[in-house]
Amino acid sequence: MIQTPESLIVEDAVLTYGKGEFATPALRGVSLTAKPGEVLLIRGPSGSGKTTLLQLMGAMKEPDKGKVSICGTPTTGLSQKRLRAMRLNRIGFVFQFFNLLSSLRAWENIAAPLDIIGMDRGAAEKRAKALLAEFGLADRADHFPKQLSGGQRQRLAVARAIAHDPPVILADEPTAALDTENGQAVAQILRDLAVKEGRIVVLVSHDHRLEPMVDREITIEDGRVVEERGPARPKSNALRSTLSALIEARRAASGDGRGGSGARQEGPRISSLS
Amino acid sequence: MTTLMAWRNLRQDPIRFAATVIGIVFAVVLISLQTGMLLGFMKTSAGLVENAGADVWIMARGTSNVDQSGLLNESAYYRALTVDGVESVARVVIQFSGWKRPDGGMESVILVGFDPRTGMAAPWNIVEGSRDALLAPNAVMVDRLYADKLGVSKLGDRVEIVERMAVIAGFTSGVRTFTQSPYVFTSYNNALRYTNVEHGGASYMLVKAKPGVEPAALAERLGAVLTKEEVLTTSDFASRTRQYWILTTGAGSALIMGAALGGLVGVIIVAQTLYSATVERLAEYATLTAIGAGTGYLNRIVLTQSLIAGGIGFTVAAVIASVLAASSASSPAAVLLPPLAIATIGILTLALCAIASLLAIRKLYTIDPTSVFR
Repeated sequence: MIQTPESLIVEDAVLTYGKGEFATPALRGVSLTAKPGEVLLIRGPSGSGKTTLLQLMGAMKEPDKGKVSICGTPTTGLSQKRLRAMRLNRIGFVFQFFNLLSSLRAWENIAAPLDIIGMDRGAAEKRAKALLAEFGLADRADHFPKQLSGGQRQRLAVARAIAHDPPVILADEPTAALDTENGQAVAQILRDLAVKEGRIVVLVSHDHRLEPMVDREITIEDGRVVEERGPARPKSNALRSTLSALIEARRAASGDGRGGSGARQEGPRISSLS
Repeated sequence: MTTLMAWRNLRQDPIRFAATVIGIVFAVVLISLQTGMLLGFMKTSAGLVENAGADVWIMARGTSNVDQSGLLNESAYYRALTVDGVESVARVVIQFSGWKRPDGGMESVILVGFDPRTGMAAPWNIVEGSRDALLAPNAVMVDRLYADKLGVSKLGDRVEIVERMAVIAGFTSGVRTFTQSPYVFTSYNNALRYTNVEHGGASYMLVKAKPGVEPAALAERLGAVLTKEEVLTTSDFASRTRQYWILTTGAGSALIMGAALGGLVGVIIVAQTLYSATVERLAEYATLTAIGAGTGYLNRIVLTQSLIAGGIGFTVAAVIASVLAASSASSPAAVLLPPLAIATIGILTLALCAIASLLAIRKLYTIDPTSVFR
């Protein structure tokens, strides 16, 4: 597999919780690469190390051994401040239970990462409301999370994840709390973020409904990759060239391997869902 | 957006928010009243010194406060007059005495015999009668605040001071005493009849400096001449008197302890409610941390919450305390809350709220961003 500088790369990652007789290996030498424009699904039973792997790829912790590189920047040896900056600039998170901020309205939830980055309120509001419109939530802009349905909340969470235009989206069981219709809609959005916008999308999920949406699947057991399948959806030449153009545009817009808004596709991502 | 989150976090739990604000209100009202009483006592205890119109006080050695003094003999008066820079010297009698109410009850009073010639130590804030009326034999003047206590209500009422008749010739307003013994003003000559002070003698010799003469320099020159007496400027004697009544009697420390207790209660209430509110939202703070927010960002939310609660609590408390202070104007124990005191208490309230938020902020430092994943 070709490893471009924009890829999310895990090389021989080892991580153990506890010490001595209480040591519990979580990862025992995991290697994988996720490329821009690709949806990678990570599967495995409970306790297999999926979540730990997600934490490494999310710049939340470092491996004991091995290396994690996010879009060309290794996380090894970075201070907590630099790791936070990396999360803020390069990664968008989608959680199983949405993790929306209950005290903020829908548009304010999307504006939160922009506020953390330091964007002024007016620009953040404009960007947030544009994303709400793209996700079919324009009429819910002033609603609080508890006033939204599960599907609306997850779409809002995805919108928040891409508000700051990160090149990497990490989604933890993004459809587990949704019904079939909403689950498929969210899965399609995530796929579009990869295929149409050239982002790296990594899903951790048990949901078999996601399988048709992914490009590759990796199965982990006992902290090791035991199976790798894919690509499930061979890309056409036309799609490959579109992706190359998107990646080039993202690189040119950011200048550091980060995604730029110029690469993002405008227009509605979804029409109507509950 | 941190301010918005702080405000919404508070509003989302109105009962906890109300409990926090009520706690702050109680604490700040307590702090304000204790502080106001302390300021009132400070003003009252040295009120006679500061309103006497003198620049320098000559007194018996070891005098601790204006209400309790030894006696000076006549020679001190004449020696003081010889000192360069002295414009005038007044003999003043200030002594505890016994007051017999018209109905027969006894009260302790502090007799103030002022010098009609110079006007020093004369009553101030006169609302009925006049200073000159006190020149009449047996004429005395008391404050309206103590009229009931002394059993008098109008001009011409007759009482007894150490078994000698006295007639009410006037009333003052707001001339308080720190002790429970009201001031009774009369002329120096009348005071001699009610006390054991010999003619020419006095409790204090009050000195007025010539224009342009510094009181401190004059006190030094007087001290060189009056070696058996003690000489203090008005400000020094006022400080000494305050110190005696406020500190040595324990009144000041009791008030300060009360205010500190109020502050402590406020801090505990705010700290406890803010901490529990923060713990309930740890998942949201962890989400913010996972997204990339630093601890400074999270700290601002919690700190702003405490400052909003503190600001609202203080505003309500300041209104209540001001009303209570205003209503104390007609009572013997004044609660003084000038704007500077209220502003200082406001700053103190916000500072205490900021301190109270430290417990919750400390909790934020323990947040692990990986906790956002199950």
